[in-house]
Amino acid sequence: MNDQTILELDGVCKTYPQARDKSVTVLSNISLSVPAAQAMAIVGPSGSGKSTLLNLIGALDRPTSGTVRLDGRDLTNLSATQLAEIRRNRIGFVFQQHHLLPQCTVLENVLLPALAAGRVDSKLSDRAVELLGRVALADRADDRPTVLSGGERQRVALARALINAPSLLLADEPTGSLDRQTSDSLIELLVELNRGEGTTLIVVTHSPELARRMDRVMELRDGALRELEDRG
Amino acid sequence: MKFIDLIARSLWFYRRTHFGVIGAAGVATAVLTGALLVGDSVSGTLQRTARLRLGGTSTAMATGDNFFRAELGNELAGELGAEVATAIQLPGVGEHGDDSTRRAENVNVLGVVGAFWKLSPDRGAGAPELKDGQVAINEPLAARLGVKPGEQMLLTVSKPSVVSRDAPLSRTSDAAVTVRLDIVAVVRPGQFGRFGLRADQAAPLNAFLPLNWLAEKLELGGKANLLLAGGGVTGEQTDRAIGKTWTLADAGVEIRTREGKFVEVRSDRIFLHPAVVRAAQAVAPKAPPEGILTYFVNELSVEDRTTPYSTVAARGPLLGGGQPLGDGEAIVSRWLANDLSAAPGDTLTMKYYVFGPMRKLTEHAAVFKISKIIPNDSELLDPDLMPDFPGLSEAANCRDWDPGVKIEQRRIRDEDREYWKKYRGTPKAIISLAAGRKLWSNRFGDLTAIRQNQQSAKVYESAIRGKIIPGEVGLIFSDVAAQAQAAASEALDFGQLFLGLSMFLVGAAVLLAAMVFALGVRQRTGELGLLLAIGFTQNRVRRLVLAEGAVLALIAVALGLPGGILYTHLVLDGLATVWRGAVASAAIDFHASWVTMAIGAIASFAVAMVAILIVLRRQFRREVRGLLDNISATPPTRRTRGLLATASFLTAIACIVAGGATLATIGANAGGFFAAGFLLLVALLSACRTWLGRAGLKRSPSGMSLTDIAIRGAGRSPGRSLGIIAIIACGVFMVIAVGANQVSPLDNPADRASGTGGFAVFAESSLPVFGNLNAPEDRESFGLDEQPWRGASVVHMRLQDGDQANCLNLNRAQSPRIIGVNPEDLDGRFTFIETRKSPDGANAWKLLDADFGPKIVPAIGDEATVRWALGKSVGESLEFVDERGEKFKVQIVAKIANSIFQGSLLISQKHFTRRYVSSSGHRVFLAEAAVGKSTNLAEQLNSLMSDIGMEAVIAVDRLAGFNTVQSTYMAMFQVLGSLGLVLGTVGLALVVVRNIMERRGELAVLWAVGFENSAIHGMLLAEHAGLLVLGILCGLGAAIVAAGPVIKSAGGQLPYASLGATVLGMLVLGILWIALAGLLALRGERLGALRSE
Repeated sequence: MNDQTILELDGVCKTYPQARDKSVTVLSNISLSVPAAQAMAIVGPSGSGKSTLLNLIGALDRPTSGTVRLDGRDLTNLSATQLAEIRRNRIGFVFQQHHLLPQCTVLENVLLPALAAGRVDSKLSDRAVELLGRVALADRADDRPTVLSGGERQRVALARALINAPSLLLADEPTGSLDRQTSDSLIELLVELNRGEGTTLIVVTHSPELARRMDRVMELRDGALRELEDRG
Repeated sequence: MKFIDLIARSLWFYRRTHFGVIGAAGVATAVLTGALLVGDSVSGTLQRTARLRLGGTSTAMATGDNFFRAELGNELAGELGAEVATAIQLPGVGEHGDDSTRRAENVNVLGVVGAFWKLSPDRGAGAPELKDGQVAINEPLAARLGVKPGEQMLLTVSKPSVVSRDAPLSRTSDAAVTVRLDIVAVVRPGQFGRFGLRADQAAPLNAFLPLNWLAEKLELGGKANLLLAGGGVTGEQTDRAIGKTWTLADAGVEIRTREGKFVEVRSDRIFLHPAVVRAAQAVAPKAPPEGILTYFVNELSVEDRTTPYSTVAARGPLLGGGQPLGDGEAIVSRWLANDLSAAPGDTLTMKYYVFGPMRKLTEHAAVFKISKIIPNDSELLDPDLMPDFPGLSEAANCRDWDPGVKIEQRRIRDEDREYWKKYRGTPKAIISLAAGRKLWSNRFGDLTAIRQNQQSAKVYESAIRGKIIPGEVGLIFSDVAAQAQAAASEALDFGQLFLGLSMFLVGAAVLLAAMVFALGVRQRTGELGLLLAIGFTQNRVRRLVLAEGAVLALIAVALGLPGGILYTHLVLDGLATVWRGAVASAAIDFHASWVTMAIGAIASFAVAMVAILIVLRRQFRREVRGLLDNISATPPTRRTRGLLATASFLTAIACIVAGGATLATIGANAGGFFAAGFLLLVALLSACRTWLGRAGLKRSPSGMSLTDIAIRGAGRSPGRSLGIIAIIACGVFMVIAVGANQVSPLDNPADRASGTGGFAVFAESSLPVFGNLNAPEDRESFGLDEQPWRGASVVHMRLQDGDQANCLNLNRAQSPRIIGVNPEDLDGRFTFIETRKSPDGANAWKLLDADFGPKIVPAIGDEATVRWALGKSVGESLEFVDERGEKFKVQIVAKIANSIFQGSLLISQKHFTRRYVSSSGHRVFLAEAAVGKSTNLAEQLNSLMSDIGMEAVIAVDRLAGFNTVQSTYMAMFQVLGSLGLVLGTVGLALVVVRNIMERRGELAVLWAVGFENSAIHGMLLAEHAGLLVLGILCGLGAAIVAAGPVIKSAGGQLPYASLGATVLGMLVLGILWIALAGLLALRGERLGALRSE
């Protein structure tokens, strides 16, 4: 792994146990190297394991075999607490379902990862407000997620993913449930973040528009990953 | 934003759901704390009763029939510097002054002085002033007799005899004194109305009289048999003080100087106490004292010449040495030699009575060779050799003789009267001490006097006294305050029992609380996943969830504690009314300790926290992604669950076989069957778990129906579904299995193996009976009509009063009542359920006479007495102190099944009379009667022997009385169990609501694709009612096994109606809850649910 590489997967496999002692292999022998500040899209048919791959990269799941290295650290050997620390400080995650806490306001939802780190100071609050401004939701800071539209919720989720200034931003079908217009504005935001702040971006998507805007496009099919384009 | 803000936001946001959580946890707190507070209340009431019955009394010395100088109390008070009250305490029988039908047996007659009232709880405030002929009575006695101040009552008091009435030559004709008394006051509990030394929550019937007047009436002037010391002194302190103040007179021993030559030790109890004899031997080893045993003989004869009614003295050195006489030799007085025309070398025949059991007199004879004739005024003969035989020594002439044996006046000749006039009780013959002891020694002693060459009685008395520990002669104090404390504080039986009876209710409530907390956490699985996904550590998430749960639990506890108090009051109301039988009608007051409240609160709080931690632990095992999407990561494995079910089932089968074998061996063993049933229940539940796991994965072979979906729905969350089945099944099992084992009345009370032992009547008297109720002449003396006694036989037993050790006494009995039985009398009766080891294998009663080691007295007790009231098991012992101050152990060697002996321990008469030497007569009687005559016999005993407080009951009724307590427990259990079942159904409803809420999306899909509302409701009802029915079936199946002994026993019948009603009620209530929960949960907007799907 050279100095520029932020993420490296080596021979990663993921199988899920099934009833009657059977199992299903979703990912087999995946190897991948992602340089810092690269924007990458992972495409592929439904059920091909894109989200699973993203979860492994995001330290939400562990591979059955193989290694996942982030900034040179092998995630597969880390404890739950160490993984939480990685997720908190190094990774931002935008889920397909926005997963906002209904009991918290928009601003509070954005601040949640900071609370996970145990520190919510005025500086972070300012940053949260600023992030909400960037996602055009500054005026909705005190609203509850239940009164937001789908696109707005997704933008809150994006702001939340960015609050701790992660070096790696993962997005799982971020535009999957959005209309065209909302989707376009979210894509813009992601690209801008990648280019402006040098955040490495990995997006799982079905959207050709979104994939086109990325530096690199990989396709996952039948458990294997192959490069479609590399504009980086 | 702070951590606490997040907690506050969640609490507020989910407030509606939290109401349910708080409600369930509050009910759990209330039920748990309430159950504990019932124990507190029982314990608190007993403590209060203990304070009322002892007041400021710290230690007490009750010497029964052995009276000491009343002055000892004052001397002791001076030595201790504490209040000491001197009193006389005797059993008596009370009667209304004008209405002989209003009687009270077992009256505690107390002769008291002013100091007594000062020890009362009120410290003497309002104490009655008693004059001669006046009495103050306590409230229960006043109520029993229906009397009030200003009226009169009759009191028959057992007249103590300094000589045991079992002792040779003692009399029974003056066994009681009846006095008419003016009632001047009814003494309240605080004024010592409840005074009593026995740990019994039932108030005694007390009558207080002036000490001196009572003593005078009983011919006991200047004597007492009870000392109470206050001021917080300990038993050790009082014993030390009595060691300094007591005199030999307190042990009935007198030392006097005879003609300035020697001192003589005598006892007003005729026979010298062994401790006195030992002391006499110890003080003068160089100049051995002379032992004297003088006996009253019926006849002395040489050939056909006879002299009636004479005394004969056995004399000889106590410590061996030169014996003046051989064992077969006799020295006779000149008067006797002349009367019998006897000469040295002639054979002297002596006839005398030996006292057997029930004062049965047997005439024995012994022969001696006349070795010497001595002058009438010889130094070897003097009137003081005769002890003070009651009815004899004080008689001026032979006509006034009234000893404890029948005197045929016609046999007394003029010369005999002359002799008595001139020589009084001077023995006419002397035999060796060894020979005399062989003939006349008995349990009371074997010497009537000791003579020692010593001039100063005072010096000798001091020496003798120095060699005796007061406790050896019965002058021993008990730490009654400490004992009362122990009796009350160890008496958690009922509290524990109630907790046991409430266990299912508590369990159901706790389970419900745990379930709602667990469900609350599970419902927010996605939130947990999110928090973990954005970088919260598991610890931080745990703290967050626990903090939120803690707030809810604290609110629940805050609401539950007052609820617990309310619940306790409701239970106490129940115990005062419908469940009165469970506490022997004692009034239980509400008592609550902070510790108990804290335990209830902490336990309830801990349940919530543990439930949350368990769920979190399971959730944290899943990958974050799984949590985030709330999908199960690991499918159930069938193999392990199948194995578990098989193993449990096999264990249950093994237990049933074992239980059946036990039943066949020893008659009946509900316990074994209960265990077997319980294991079967476990097996069935395990099987349900396996089935549910499979149902969740089931593929329908023939298309698909709503029933399939319902079954799969039940199998989707097997743990939760099993929870429903388990609560219902356990509830049904417990209620039915316990209900079925209610004690049923005896089918055949004449059966010797039954709890009556085959006896028809059980009788107990306040005052002892000295005669033999099997002897027509003795029955005649009591005025008993012969008719009901034809074919009857009576077993006589001795009784040493003590604490009632049965379910009618809530205190932990410290010194239970002891009944002295003749093992042969009970041969082949009752059913033994556990014995230590039988010497002959056939008759376990013989264990009572078996040798288990020195100072160990074997005892047999009723199962309920030994196990519950005493908290002991076979092989364990209780420590007692006998009349002579010697500690001994009463070891339980066997237990008999549910019997009329509940409350007492049985020891053999041999041991009884050895330990309670001065006790006399019999007080417990078991009678076998001819068919149809038992009621008549009992009525006769009650009416014609009422003056000695005879209370006779039909044995079956006595047994039923004990069973009432158990039946009340069962009734309580059923009520509490049913409440638990109701909570179980609430839990069911809760689970239904949660299930439906979680599946609103899928249900909306069903609705969207065209299912009718009724079909969806039907499916939900089928799914959950199925679980309900499964639970009932599991519980029922297991309960039938547990009720095996009842079903198997002849005449045994399950209470089908009440049990059927329980099951039906359960089913209806459960279905009602399910339908209601379904309606509530499905009300709402379906489109939203569909969208989220």
